Amino acid sequence: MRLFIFILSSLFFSQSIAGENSIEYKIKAGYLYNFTKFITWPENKLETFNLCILGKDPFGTILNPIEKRLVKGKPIRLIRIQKISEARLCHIIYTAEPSQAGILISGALTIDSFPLKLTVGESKQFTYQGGMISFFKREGKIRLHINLQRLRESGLEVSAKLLEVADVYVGGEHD
Amino acid sequence: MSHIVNSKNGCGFFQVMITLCLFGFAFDLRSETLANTFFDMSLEELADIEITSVAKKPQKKSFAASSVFVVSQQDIKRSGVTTIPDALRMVPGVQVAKLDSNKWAISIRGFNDIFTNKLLILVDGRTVYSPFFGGARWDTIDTILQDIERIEVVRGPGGTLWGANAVNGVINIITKKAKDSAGLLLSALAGNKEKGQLSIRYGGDINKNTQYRIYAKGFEKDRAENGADDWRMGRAGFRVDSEPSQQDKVTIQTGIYAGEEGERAISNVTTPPFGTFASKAEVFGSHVLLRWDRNLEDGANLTLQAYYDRAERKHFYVSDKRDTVDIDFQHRLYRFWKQEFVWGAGFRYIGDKALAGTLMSLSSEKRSDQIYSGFIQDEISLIDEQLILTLGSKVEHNSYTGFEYQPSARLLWKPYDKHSLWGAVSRAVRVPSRVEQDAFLQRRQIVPGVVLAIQGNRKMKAEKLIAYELGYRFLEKQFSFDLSVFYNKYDNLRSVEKSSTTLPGFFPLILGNKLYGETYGIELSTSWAVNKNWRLQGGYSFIQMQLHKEVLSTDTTEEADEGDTPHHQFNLRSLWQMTEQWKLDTAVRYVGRVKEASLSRKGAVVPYVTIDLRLAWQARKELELSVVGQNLLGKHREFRGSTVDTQATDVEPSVYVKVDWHI
Repeated sequence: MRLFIFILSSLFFSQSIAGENSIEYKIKAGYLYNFTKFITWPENKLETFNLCILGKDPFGTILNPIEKRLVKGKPIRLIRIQKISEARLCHIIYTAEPSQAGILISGALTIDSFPLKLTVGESKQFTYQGGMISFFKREGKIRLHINLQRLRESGLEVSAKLLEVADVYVGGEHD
Repeated sequence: MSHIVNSKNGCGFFQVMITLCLFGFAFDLRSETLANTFFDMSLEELADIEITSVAKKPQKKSFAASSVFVVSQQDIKRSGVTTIPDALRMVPGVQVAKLDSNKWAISIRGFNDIFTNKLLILVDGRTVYSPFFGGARWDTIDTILQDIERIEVVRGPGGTLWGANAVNGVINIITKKAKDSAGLLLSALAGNKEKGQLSIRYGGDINKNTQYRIYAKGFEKDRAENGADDWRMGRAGFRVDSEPSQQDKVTIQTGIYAGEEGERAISNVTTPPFGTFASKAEVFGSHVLLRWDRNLEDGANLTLQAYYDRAERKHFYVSDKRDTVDIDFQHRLYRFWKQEFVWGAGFRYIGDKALAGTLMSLSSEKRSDQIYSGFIQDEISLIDEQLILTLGSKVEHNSYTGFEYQPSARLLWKPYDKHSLWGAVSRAVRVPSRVEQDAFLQRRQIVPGVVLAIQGNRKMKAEKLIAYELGYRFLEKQFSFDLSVFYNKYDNLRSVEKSSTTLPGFFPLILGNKLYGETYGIELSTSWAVNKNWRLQGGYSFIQMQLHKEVLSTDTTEEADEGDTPHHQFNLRSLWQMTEQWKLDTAVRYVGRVKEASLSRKGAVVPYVTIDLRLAWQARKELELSVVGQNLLGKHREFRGSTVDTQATDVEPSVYVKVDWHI
């Protein structure tokens, strides 16, 4: 009986933790979808617009409904990948894992086959080191940090509106 | 965790099970719908959602049970205004009337005057209400408009939290934190009425946890055709925000301003200058403010704030200098489940020196006053997230009228997510100004050799208000609607009585508290996002004032006070993002008649309609060019006469070109 209650209560507890966390990831999901509107990719020759989650997926089911949405008439496909080498067809690559983030950045920086991919990570460190967009928290709100130089070098076009709500890092010194 | 287990344990296993299932089910449903709405949110909306739980971060929930309108940075920018008073014109229920280029009469819920003494104004927590004449000196309230984060306008009494003089409303001007104003901003504008304005700001990092910004701004405005109201002003300052540890936040800010303001003054007394003549006033001010916030365990929070403020004004009428020192302490704690306590204490010292001018002298040249205050407020969740009762009161002691208390009770009912209903009953007081107590004011010669004069009265009492308010709010992504209704009952209002003293050469009148009255009205605001690129905002307000004399009163001014506030005001704004680079914003306003019935203030200001336009081109990411036209339907008069006799000028069409460069 006690064990039961314990299991139930821990379920309850994890549920409520998910509750608090999930708001955070819902906002991030909202941002990811917004990126497709405020960043312009060159003509997409694939059938789908591919949003890739590299490594661990912190979104759970939150991001799934994004597959009902379109980008320039093409449905968004959610692809969960484990290695950067699987990212060839991705338009957006998101990663929550710091270890993967490093690989993603160096991969995106060095491999020529990686232009025109938006890289999204989870800390300012990610953008300082060459990632394009990262999420960070400020005063309890989820804000964006954008490495403008990298974003422009990648060949993607970014709208002024997106830059308006973000903290823009233009390269050079930081912290 | 164990707390949850224990509390549920008494209900029995099945009950726990059912509760959990229900909870889980409800949660899943919600997450699905929420996820979808989050996809449809704009970038700005996403950036504005607070994820910290209520327990961690204080939210001004009590706001929800009052009539609040927030002017955002976006609103200020796209309206094309160049002054804070003009930005307030978009707020339904705020009466803004310009007397000349540098003077405004601004009020909420009636009693509009150059010195609207029933409205409290704060800039980053520092009061800029002048206790000398009573009211804000709008000419001195300014900063780089791009550095304003938002202006919160609370219609209705705020005495419980903010203390005396927050009778009919509170306007909070909140500037951005240093880290939200990073980089170099250069902004310049020039036009037919705006001779030129230049703003420079630079923001950067001192270290990882500390940011700063430093700014300077200067402008010159042209006189009206029939006026002498040229206006030159300069200001500079800096702000530092630091987070030395996880719990602590420290803010230091300071500013300084100086200006020269012209006007056409009217003097009809026996000493020169006579008649109507051009006059110049000089203003100077500075301040330094320090605030320290500390987050304690369990969501409790401490705030300590101290500031020093200096304000000087040289005017032919009367000149004054004033030092204010203010220390405020606030402690927020969560003592019981579902209750949130806030209490605080404050001390303020005001020392002034007044130099008699041509028209006014004071019984004592210097005066210093102390105000001690304390407040407590309790927010009780009667039904979680649905029914919230807020009770509180401020008690303060001032040197003018002694102890004053300002309690309020507010109830918020939120039966469904998008709908809320609220009601409030509150008491607020307005403490007499220095002038009302100590001044001897010469008004005009009534027969050769005899001048009508008004004497201050040290026995002046505080004006009192009991306010009854009701409101309804509908909030949805595309559409919002906000309605407030109020009924205010005032007592001890200022009156002008016949004086029993005899003074050779004068016909003396003396100030008293023998008026009372009621006001009632509605304020309505609505916002509609027609589509992604086009938003419409509308507002309407109605107010009726009825002032009465007590039986023994000999006052003749009450009609004039009623007439200074227009009954009807209407505004409509359109914010249209035409393309990625081009924006076109339009505002139309209607302001009803302002009547003047008193002998010294003849005539009336006719109702007027006016249009403002702004066309902006985002030439490059860091460069925006815009053209703004204000009052395009021709010149009109907005206000006539005032306590201090300045000739009103016409508000004329203004067109200017602006360049904003931000890197």
